[in-house]
Amino acid sequence: MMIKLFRSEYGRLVKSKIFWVSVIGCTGFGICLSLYMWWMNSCFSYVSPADENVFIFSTFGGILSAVFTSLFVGKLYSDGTMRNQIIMGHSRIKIYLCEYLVSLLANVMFFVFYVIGNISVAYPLHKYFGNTPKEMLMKSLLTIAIIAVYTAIFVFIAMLNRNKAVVAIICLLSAFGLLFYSMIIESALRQPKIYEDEYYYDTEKDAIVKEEAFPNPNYVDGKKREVYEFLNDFLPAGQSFQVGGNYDEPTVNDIFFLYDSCIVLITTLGGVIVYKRKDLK
Amino acid sequence: MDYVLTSDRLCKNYRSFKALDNFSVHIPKGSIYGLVGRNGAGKTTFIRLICGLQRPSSGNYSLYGVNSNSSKIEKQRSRMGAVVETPSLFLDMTAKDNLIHQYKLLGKPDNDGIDELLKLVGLENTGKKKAKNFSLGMKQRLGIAVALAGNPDFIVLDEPINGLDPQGIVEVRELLLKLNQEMGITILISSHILDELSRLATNYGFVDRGHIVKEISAEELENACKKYISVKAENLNALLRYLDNNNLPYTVISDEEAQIYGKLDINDCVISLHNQGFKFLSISEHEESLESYFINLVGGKYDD
Repeated sequence: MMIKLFRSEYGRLVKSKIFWVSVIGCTGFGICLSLYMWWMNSCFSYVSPADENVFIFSTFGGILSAVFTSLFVGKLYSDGTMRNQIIMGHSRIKIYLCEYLVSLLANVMFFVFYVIGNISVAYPLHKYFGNTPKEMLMKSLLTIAIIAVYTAIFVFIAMLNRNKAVVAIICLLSAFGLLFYSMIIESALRQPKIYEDEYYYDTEKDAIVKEEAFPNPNYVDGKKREVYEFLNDFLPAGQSFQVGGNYDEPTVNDIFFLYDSCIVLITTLGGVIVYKRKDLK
Repeated sequence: MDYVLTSDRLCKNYRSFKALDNFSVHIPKGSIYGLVGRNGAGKTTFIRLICGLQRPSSGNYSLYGVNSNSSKIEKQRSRMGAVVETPSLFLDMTAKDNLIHQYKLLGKPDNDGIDELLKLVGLENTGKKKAKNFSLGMKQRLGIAVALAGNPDFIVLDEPINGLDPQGIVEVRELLLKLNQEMGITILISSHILDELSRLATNYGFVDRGHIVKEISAEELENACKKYISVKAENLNALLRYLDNNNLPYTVISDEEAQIYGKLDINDCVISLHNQGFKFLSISEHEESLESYFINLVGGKYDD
C-alpha cells in the first residue's frame, strides 16, 4: 500500500511548481556563488578550492526546507486531498511516513542540484578540491542527515496543523530561530580564552605601547561551555555551521549522525502518534 | 435485508458538545439513502466517522459486516468512495490529472477507464483547464468522479448540491440516479434540501440533535404523506356507508373524524349526505410534504 502512496505523491512532487522553482533556484544559486567566489579570488590573487562553498547549503537548506515542506505538505490540507487517502483505506502511519519520505527526497534533490550547479562552474575555474574524497563523502552524508532532521521537524509541524499559512510561518520562524540561536552559541564558543599581548602606536606618547594579555570576560567555560558544546553539536543548525564552515581543524564528528537519528526518530514517532489520533475535517 | 452500513449507538463528543448521541442507522444495499436533518444535526459528523477522518467517542459501525474496531476496516473502506463537504481536488491539476493521481493512489497499473469516467460525469471536454477554474457544479462532478475511480459499490456524498445552480442540481441528480439504477451503487447522501432529496432517495434517515429520529423507506413515506380530505362530523356512519359504496379508501381517526384518500367528488358527497340528514362539522384538504413531515417529526425551531 505504501508504494501506491509513494508513487502518487512522487507524481504530485514532479508536477509541483514550487519544487521546480526550488530546483532551478538552487542550481542557479550554486552557479552564482561559484562565479562570485572566483571573482573575489581574482581581486585578491587567491585561488580557493572548488568545493569551498559546497556544504554551505546545510546552513540555508533549513530555510528552503521550511518553505518547501510547509507548502507541499500543507497543500494536502488546503485542497482536502488528504481525505481521499484516508477514505480509500491508507493508514495514517503510512500517509505520514510517505509525506516525510517524499519531502526528504525533494530536499535532498535541492542539495544535489545545488552541488551540480556549484561544482560544474567552480571546478573548471579553481581546478582543485580542498577535501579528500572521504571528507567529501562524510560531509555530504552529514548534510543529508541535517536535511533529514529539518524535514522531520517541518513535516511534524505541517501534518499536525491544517492552516497552511500558520504552518509556513511556524516553519520559517523555527528555521530562522534555530539558525540564529546556533549562531549565538557558535559565536560564544569561538571566543578566545585570553586576549593575547597587543602592540599599538600611542599618538600622545609618540611610542609603541604594549597591552598585556588579559582574560576574555566573555569566554564561556565550565558547565555552561559543556552545555553550549552539546547544543552546538546536537542542533542541526550548529552542525551545519561546522560542516559548511571550512575550518582548519576537523569538525565533523560521527556522533552528529546519532543526534540526527534521535531527532528524526523522536519527531517522526511523536508526529505519527498525534496524527493518528487527530480529528480531521 | 442486506446492509452496506450499520451503526450502533455511535457517539461523538467535541469537548462538552455532543455531536452524535446514540446514532444508529441501517443503510440497505442498492439504496439511495437520504440523511435528512437541519444544519448542525450531526450528518457531516457521522460521515466523517464512517470515512475514517475521525474516531467515535463510543459505539461502533459496521461496513460490509466488518466492525469499525477491526483492523480490517481500512480494507473495507477501499470499497467506498466519498465526497465530504467540499470536493477533494488538486486545484492546480486538470480533471484528468486529478484522476491519474487517484489511480496511482489506488495502485492501478494504467490509466484505462479515465476517459470513460470523465464522460460519465460530463467532464470529457475540460482539456487542460485546471480544477481551480471549474464552476462549483463541475468541481462536484469531478469530486464524484474521483470517488468513483476505485469502482466502489458504496459512495457517500455530503450535501453534494449545496451552492449549485438549477442546471448543476439536475446534472448531479441525473448522475446519481444513473449510478444507482444502472451500476447498482449504494449511495448515502446527506442534505437539508428536502425537495431535491425527495426526487432521489429510496430510504430516509431523519436526524435531529445527533441521533436518528426515524428511518423510513420512500414508499412508507409516500403513504404517510398522502393527500387526504379530513372530515369531521357528529356521527360518521352515513359518511362511511357512502365511502364504502363508492370504493373510496379512508381511515377513521376518531368518532368524529375520518380521513378520506383517493378522488372524492365533494359536490356529490355533500348533496348525497345532506339528503340523509348528515351534518358536516368541517371539511379540509391536507397534503404532507417531506418538509412538513420532517418538521412534525423533529419539532419547530431549535431550542439551544
